[in-house]
Amino acid sequence: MDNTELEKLNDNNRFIKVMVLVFSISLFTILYIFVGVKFITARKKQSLLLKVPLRSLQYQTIGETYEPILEIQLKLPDGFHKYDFLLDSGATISSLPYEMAGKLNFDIMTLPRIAFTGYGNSTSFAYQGSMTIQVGNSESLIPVVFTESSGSKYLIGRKGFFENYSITFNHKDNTIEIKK
Amino acid sequence: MFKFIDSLSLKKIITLSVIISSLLSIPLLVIYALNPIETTNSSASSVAGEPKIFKHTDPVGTTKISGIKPFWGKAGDEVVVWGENFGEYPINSYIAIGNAKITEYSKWEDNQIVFTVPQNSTSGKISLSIGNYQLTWDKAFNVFNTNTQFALVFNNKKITLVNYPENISKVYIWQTLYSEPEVFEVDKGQTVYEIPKTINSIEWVSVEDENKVGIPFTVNPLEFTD
Repeated sequence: MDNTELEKLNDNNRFIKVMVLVFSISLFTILYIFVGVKFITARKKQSLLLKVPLRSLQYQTIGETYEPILEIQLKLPDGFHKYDFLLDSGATISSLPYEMAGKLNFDIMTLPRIAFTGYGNSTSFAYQGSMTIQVGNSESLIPVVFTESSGSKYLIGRKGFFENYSITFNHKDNTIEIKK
Repeated sequence: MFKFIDSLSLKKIITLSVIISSLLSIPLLVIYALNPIETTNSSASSVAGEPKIFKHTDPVGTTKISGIKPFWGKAGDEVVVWGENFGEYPINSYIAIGNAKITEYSKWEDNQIVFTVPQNSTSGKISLSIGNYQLTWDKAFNVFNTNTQFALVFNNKKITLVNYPENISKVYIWQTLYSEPEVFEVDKGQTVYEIPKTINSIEWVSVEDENKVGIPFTVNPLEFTD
């Protein structure tokens, strides 16, 4: 094999190596960007809206408990107002005492009535409307029922809320985290 | 340059490409991470309802209606009927208000049925049909709508009739579902009627005209809450 042939062979080898290098750089770059974008998108979608401490309550019978009570902005005709809501994953739908229906400009007589069966098969009725709440900087229009009893708790239930957010009750850190 | 390339083995080429691609992709990913992303909030109503599978069980004993709550409703309102031996969604069974058959039931259990007042229904007696067996609740169920002007107000142990029609004749008030009703003959000049002191709460009210036909009226639900 003479020198010219040897040089030609070297040139071919060099060309192949450069091509492999370019191809693998492109391949790895695309792979990294694809995985990275997927990961960042997922993290962004799970972005934290709110992280607040669980509220400590003292009961005479059972002692201290930590309740998932949140101060949530509720939209009334004259703007947002703060109310304490209990996040209740056991409640099908959010509920408010009937006196809030008037504040939200609802006439309870015109709202559709829903029957609820409670403890001991007792039946109670509530009237379905909707409310706009603000959690962090996120506004949501969610269904709510107005109970027939005055002074009942302000509850945030599953419908329209728990199904749209990722909510963590962290009793070790005594915090509630709400992520989108 | 040629010497450098010539000296690279395949393993080194791959390692070098991993390093270079990392250096290229990291700044791009940082730029992407710093840009806000538009998130969509899926509506609660978009949760598709799965088809309900009803189990049909015929009642075992004699069917009995113990009560109906409340005594009024408008289209779309739920009403609870409780009693015994209703079965579970038995075949050929239905509830009717007057002649209007109910088609929407959110519950039909052996001791409780929850139905929805249909559109365009009118006041009348509630009947329960299970196969060939039929039961009728003896008191008229009040169905009102947005056009109903006549209102019955209950407060301070008084019944007030607001915008009552000319043909109004009697108002019946039951303290309990099985007590004898308190009957008020309506005097056209009088709108307020005192309830006897012995009556603490009202379970059922019906209003009828001179032909004993039920007259629809609106009520404030909170005035009749236990």
